[in-house]
Amino acid sequence: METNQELTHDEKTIYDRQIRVWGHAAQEKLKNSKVLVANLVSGSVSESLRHLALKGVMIDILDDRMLESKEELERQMSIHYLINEEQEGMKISEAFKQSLDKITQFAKISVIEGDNLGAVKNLEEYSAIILGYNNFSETKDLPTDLEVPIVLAKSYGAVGVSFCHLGSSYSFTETLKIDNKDMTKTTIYNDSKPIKDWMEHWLSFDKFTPKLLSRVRVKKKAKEDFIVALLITFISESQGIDLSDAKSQVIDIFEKNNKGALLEETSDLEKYLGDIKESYITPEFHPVQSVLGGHLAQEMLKIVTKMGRPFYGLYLYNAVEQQGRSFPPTYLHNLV
Amino acid sequence: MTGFKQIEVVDMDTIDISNLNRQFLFTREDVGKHKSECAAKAIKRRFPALNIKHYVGNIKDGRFDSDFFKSFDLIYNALDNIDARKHVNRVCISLNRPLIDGGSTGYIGTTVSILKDKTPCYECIPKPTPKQFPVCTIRATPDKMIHCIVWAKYLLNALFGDQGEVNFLEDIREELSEVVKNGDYKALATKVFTKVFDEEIHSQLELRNKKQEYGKSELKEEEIKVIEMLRKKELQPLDSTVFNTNPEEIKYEDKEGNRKDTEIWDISLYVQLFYKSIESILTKYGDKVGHIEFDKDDEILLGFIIACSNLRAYNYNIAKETGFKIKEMAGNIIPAISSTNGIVAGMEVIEGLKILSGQTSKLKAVTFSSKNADRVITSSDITQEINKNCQICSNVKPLYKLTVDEETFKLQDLIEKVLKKDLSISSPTLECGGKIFFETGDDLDEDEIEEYEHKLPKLLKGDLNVGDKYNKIRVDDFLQDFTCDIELHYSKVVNKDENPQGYIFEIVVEGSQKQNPSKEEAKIVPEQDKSEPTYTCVDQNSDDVIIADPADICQKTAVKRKSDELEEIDHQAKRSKITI
Repeated sequence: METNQELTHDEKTIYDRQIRVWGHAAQEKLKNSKVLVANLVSGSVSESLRHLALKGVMIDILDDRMLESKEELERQMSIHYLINEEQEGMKISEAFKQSLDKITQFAKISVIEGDNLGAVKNLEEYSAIILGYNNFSETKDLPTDLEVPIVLAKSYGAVGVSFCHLGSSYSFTETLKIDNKDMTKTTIYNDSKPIKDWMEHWLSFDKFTPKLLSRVRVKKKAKEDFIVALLITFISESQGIDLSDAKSQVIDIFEKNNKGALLEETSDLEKYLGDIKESYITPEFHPVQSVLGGHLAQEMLKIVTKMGRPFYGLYLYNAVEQQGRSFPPTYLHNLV
Repeated sequence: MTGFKQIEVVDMDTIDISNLNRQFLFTREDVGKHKSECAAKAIKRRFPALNIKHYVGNIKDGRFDSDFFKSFDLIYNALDNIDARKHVNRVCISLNRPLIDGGSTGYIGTTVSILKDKTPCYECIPKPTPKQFPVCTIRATPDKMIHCIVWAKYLLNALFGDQGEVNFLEDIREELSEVVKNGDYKALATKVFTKVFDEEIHSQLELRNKKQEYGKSELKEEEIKVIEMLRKKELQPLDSTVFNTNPEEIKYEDKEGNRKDTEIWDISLYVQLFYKSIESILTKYGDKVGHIEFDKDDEILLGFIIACSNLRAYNYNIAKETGFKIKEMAGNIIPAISSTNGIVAGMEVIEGLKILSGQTSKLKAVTFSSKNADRVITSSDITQEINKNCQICSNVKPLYKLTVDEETFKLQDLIEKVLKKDLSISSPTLECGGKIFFETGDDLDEDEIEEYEHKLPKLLKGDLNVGDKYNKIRVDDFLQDFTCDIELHYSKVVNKDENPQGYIFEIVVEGSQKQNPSKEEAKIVPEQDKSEPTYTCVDQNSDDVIIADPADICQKTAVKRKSDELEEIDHQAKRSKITI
């Protein structure tokens, strides 16, 4: 463990405006903390990476894929602002490091060799991990004993999705205004269930869907329709089946619960499914990546400094409705 | 990244080192260069096929005329002040061009779209009034650090600034101007110090006792008020002779010679900084003394403010503040981070795409705030809330009433204060009784420009005879397509103490309903009874306005309007022209 380094005068000057947001102590903590950014398959992850580097946190990048051809380079350039046309033949992690070194002043960015999280030794030395994924089923390979807070991110067209797991025990402080006075409060989240279990739990769709759907009917709120649409997507990804097949599974459950007739009234569900389906044609919709990535960087900042209440569980952003909400792991669980 | 093919960027600003933490298009080598140019270059490098053009200049300049605005399908505001926002809003409303406005402060960001007849415009909802302080609080009874800072800035102006500016420390200016000219910093520093941090506090202590000696009747009402406030305070005069004002070692600096602005110091160090600042100002500014304006990035001037505000805070038993914090309050710094800006930029592009694809019914006013992890992004439908009485986007022709002191009110006061500041007009044309008596614009010839320049310092009544026959002035701004009438009244009762601006400006909508036209009126309406004289104090410079804390802004955005605290957005595209 390195000794805690104080901020230099130069750093205080460059980071002046953000120090005014979160204070010197938090900036110093950022300087002395390291984050792992792995698997840059989504623009939201690379946006987070860019913000984290600008904020001044140490970063290791893990992504062994090569920008091997002109076509691959162009594809990556359409996803990531930080990849440029001079980087053909480079490793993705190295390309990001090169671009970030140009736009940041003091951030220490390093490249880690390996093609998945399992290849990384000493995961515990990181303050947090941010991980991109192609397919929801990949998350089954996550280490079960991971104690480091981890954030997963991806977007589907107009929809951004993220999961955050904070480890079995996570504590943070936050400042609350009580009787007009600033009070510091410490909260501890205890959660013995590893992220993998939560994922499996969320994916065991039929267990809680009837309950969830009954709530959809009662509340008729767009956000619940939206969740159902997402769950259909998750089912389709994790089981490797078409969206339409996943949807018929949901309809089956509706009908079993005598809710079939009501489904027809739910135009929003169709709309969201449409949004998500479209996303397979244009998988990377940059403005959504930008909103999701910016937000995740902000949450990472809370996690690294342990200051402020981070989101925990599932986070959804819907660009059409301009709504972004998080649901704690227990939200879906409690519906059962 | 989204695929816009033609973008034009307008910005007048240059890159500061504090921009680099969030504006990723700039590097350290770019510091001091123009933002629009560097941003365009960086984007062009990354997207060689993109047609990007940049302009260095103020968006209110005449060259950005209606033809310029008309050539865009979508306009993005990335502004940091109300005036420019109002200007672009008016131009876009008059030309029926979609405008997307947004901004961020700290963890909070907002986006809102403006489309004529479909959404409210920027001015449909009155802007929040900037915080102001009564003169007597600043001059005699401060109880917060910000009062001390505002006072310190007045002191800086009184000692080293322009003579012409309104300053309630006029007595200090008169008394000390000779000493300032002498250039003997020690003599000056000692004089100022003794006067403001010692004698003045002693005289307040005496005043406080006066009440007990004489009883109420012999005192003026204002004096009683001041006394009552003073009695609640613990006053501590400072005698400079007990301090070592010329130490061998400067203890408030670190080994590298940087001022320890993140720490709170012992009072003796503020005394040393005070002496040192006055020495530096007199030795380093030379001819500029007499024209110095506060600049938060000028370390010497900032040092003066840090020292004076903390010394004054000591006088009134107010908690000291770090130099870091004082810089923020004095310089009205809006804290900004890259991630909030990135989020706002993303939301703005999404709203822009809704406009371009004709889905205007889906437009939202969006607020982002990561403070509440459960509801991070919230939005509301904006298409239903057009203000039918809005002077900008509806057909209501506003009528204003202006009451001025005929012996002092000049044409330049009308133009600079009433029209440009209160009404946010950029290039006025003035007409009275069918005759144009003032014009601005690019199409004037030199003779005309000279003639109008010559008129500016003249008295509106005495020299120019405006309002002799007709008391209505017709104001036109062709750039903004803004027209209004001002009913002019001359009066001798415009009390300078009550109205530091020297005029009263009111709005009469449709002949009856009175409304608060702008921040200017708010300050001249006393808080309590009108018959009781209440001093108000508003800094000339809008930079002095104090920023509400983020919680306040949260509430404001809840009514779907941004306030002027919003900082620039780092996706840099102020004007986008789209070819799909």
